[in-house]
Parts: sequence; C-alpha cells; structure tokens
Amino acid sequence: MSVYPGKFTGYDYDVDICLVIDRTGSMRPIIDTVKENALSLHRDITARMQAKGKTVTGLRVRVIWFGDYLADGPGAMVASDFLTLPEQNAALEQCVSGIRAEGGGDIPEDGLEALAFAIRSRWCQGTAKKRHIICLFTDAPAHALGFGAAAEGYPASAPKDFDELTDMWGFGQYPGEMDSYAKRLLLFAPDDGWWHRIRTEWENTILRPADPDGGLEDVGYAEMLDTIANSI
Amino acid sequence: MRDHIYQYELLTPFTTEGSGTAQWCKARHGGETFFIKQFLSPTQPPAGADMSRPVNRAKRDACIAFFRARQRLYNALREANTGALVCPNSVDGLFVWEGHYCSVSRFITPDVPPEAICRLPERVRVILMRTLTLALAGLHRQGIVHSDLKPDNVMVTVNENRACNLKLIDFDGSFFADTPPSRTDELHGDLAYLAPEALRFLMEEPVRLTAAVDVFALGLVLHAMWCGRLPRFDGTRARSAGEACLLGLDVLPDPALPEDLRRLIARMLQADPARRPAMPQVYDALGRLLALYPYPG
Repeated sequence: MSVYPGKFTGYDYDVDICLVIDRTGSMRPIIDTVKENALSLHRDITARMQAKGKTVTGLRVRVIWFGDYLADGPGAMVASDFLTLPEQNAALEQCVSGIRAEGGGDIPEDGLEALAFAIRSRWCQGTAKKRHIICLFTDAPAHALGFGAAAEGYPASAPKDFDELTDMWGFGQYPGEMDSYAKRLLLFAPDDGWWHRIRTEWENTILRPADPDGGLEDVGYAEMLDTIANSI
Repeated sequence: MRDHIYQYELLTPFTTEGSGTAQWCKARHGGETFFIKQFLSPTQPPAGADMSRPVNRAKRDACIAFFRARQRLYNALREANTGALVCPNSVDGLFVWEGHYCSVSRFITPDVPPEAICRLPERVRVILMRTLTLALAGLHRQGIVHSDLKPDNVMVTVNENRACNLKLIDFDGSFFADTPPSRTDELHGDLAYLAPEALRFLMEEPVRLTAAVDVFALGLVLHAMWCGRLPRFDGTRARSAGEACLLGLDVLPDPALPEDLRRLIARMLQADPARRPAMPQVYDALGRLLALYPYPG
C-alpha cells in the first residue's frame, strides 16, 4: 500500500533566470555565446539538472542589455519580458539576435542600474520550489548609481545609492525585493569596485572574476551553465 | 585568482560544484592539504557600517546566530569523534574572510574509490561498515544528525601497512535532533539517499526529522559498499529508494548479499522511521556478521 498516494514533487523546481549583459564592444564573445546558445538553453539546463536528480518543471529567461546612459542615451538599457522555455525559444533567439556589441562611452558602465532593474523582475511566485537567478556579465567596473542621472531615459525608479540597492537585495529576515531563499546572484565581473563590495557584502552571491586584460573571453557557456545548475 | 587566505595557500579556484549554499577550494598550509568552504550566507556588515540600518542589524544578528550554531556543532563533533570524523577544528576551523564565514578541514582523497569498496575482501568490508556505523553512533549520541550520508562522503584510505581506514566527511548539512530543519532550504541531503520522511519534509509536510534519516541512508550506503550498487526498485515510478518507499513500492536488497545483511538493510530501509533500528543495533548486527568472516588462517 502506498504511504504517499500523491504525486511526489520534491525534486521539482521552477527556475527564473535573468541574464544581465553588458553590451559594450569588448563583450562581443559573451554576447555571441548567448546568441549561439539561446535555442539550446532549455535543453542544456534541464540536462544538467537531471544529472543531479532534479527536475526543472518551469524555466523562464529574460535578458537585460546595458551600457552607459550618458553615452548611449535612452537605449542604454534594453530588457525583454520573461520568456517561457522551450515554448518561446524562437522569441528568445529573436530577442538576442538583434543585439550588437557597441557603445559604452568611458570604461565603467551603468551595471548597477541594470542590476536594480533585474532585482525588480516579476519573478515566478508559484508554490513549487523556486530559484530566482540573476546572472550578470560585464568586463567593466560600474559607475556609482546616479552617475548618468542627467541623461535622457535614465530610470526614475533607480535606487539613489548603493545602500538602497543593497536593501533591494535584502538579507535573511529583512527580505528586500526578492524571495530570500530563492534568490541567487552570479556575477561574471571584475573583482573590484562595486562588484567587489557586492561579493563581500551580499548573501547568496558568487563572483567569477573577469580578467581585467582578457575580459570574459575565458568564461565559456559550460561554466555559465554549471554555475547556474550548481546554484539550484 | 587570489593566492592566499590568511595562512592558507590556495591550490584551486573556488567552485560551487556539489554545493548550493557554499563555494569551496583546496588549500595548503604546513605541508598539509585543506578543504576551505566559504558559506554564501550570512554576510557580515562591512567595517564602519551604519548599524542604525535594519539590514545591517539583521546581518549582525544572523552572523552571531550562525557563529554560535557552528561552534556548538564543531564542539559536539569533537566530542563525538571516534577517530573516523574529518571535521572542522572547533577553535580555528571557522573564520571570516571578505565578509563570509569559512570553515576549514583536512582534505582527504580516497585511496579506494566508493565504487571499488565492494571489491575489497569481505571481512574488510564488514570492518569498514562497522567503522562507519560506529562513527554515526557517536554522532547520534551527541544529538547530531549527519543528514548527508552518501558514498561520496565516506573516504576509504590505505595506510603504509596496507590496512584500510574509513573517514566520514562533510558536516555542513548536519543538525541537532533537538533543533531539526524547519525550512526545506535547510535540508542538504543528496536526493538519492534521502529517507522517505525527508522527502515528505521537502514537500513541506509537517515532518520532524530525526536520526532515523541517517539510518535509512546508511542502509543504502552499506548495500553499495557490499555489492557496488543500490537496492532495486521500480525506476519507472520512483527516482530514488526513498521515493519508492513513499509510493509503497518494493525496495529489494540484492540477493547476493549475505542473508543477515540483507535482513538488516531491509529493516533500515523501512518507510516508518520509528521501525528502523538505532545505530548501536546496526553496529551489533554487523558484529555478528563479522564473526562469519574470520581472519584468514
């Protein structure tokens, strides 16, 4: 006789991934990697999860591209909605194929504004186990929040300073704007400046350092997938 | 890649492989190799932080609670150690590096990989199984539940006299039976070795986890140590032995097992945790099994 007549879903996860990508010129390798693998992202993540004995019951991906408001104007940040995979594989491919690596102005970019935008995503809220993952790629330091505030198109809702952004990420019983237990932040970024502060001050954050000389060329698709899968 | 954390020279980059709550690396100090684990949460408030901000007070309180809980665990592990536990030192095994707590323990690589234990002589296998059971009995006597028992956490080494030793590692998911996990995120077991009640807990049913989860996992590990594979169950309907138990399916120990061992493992794999034997009973049963395999000659 079954002692547990219901369907067992203890292995099942709903996963939302927000890819936040610096779209300035030096990021071409990562941008090309995302373009080349958009169609296989669902298959590759579910395969890695199955290898761990876990099932991805729902996978949604959104993409945020960012640059420098002062240099790029209103087009500095472009974001898609969450796309449900694999049903919207073609929409994801279309979304990423139109992005060109260009712009950026000075060396730092407005990555913190993009991160705030990602934190405020409409994450899945079902009852299943869930993981909300922000995966940010940049080879540049970040401007301080508000650096580009004078530019046309700068988001009025952007946090005014790093403390406010930190509050948005939250901590334990002071939850911020994301689910405390579901959230993970994976940074592929230089380990200095604001990115270093995030690594050392924010919980559930992993930083894979970008080489200041070689950019993110060494970060392969497999490493990105492994880092995502290990965080679930 | 940074090259040192305090006195430890880092040998590998940090990786999250196999851990959703920490990242780890290998390091060297004083001619010995260590395993450094950096926890992703909690994080300390930065130096000079404005403690009037709620988020900074929350971080401080969480760090104090984390430190006390780890100290209690490491002290109890020291008391429980029969020589077979490889665990962080309670004095300097926990420190803060760049805002995150890190634990340090000796790094061990097995001379006999888990899948090869079944090829050791029968008597050696039974001795290793008893050593593992005794280690777990010591934990349970101190009120500690390992909760992540699996072959990868059981290291068999061979010393200069060609004798096998067994070490049990990875206590990061361990908890005290008097304060079991209350949230699913606090349970860190490998799904293949989770007991049925642990799976129900993951389904957010009101289940209080006990040392019996270790008994279930040990039943599976003993089976693998003897014959190199897990018990059979209907893999089209269940993804693990624990799930098979939940669904009322048979979980069948291998017929190649000695009869006494097969009966013992079957008792350890019962769906009802209250019906499983305690570790001292398992240890005694393995003692009787050992008598069947005297020293050669």
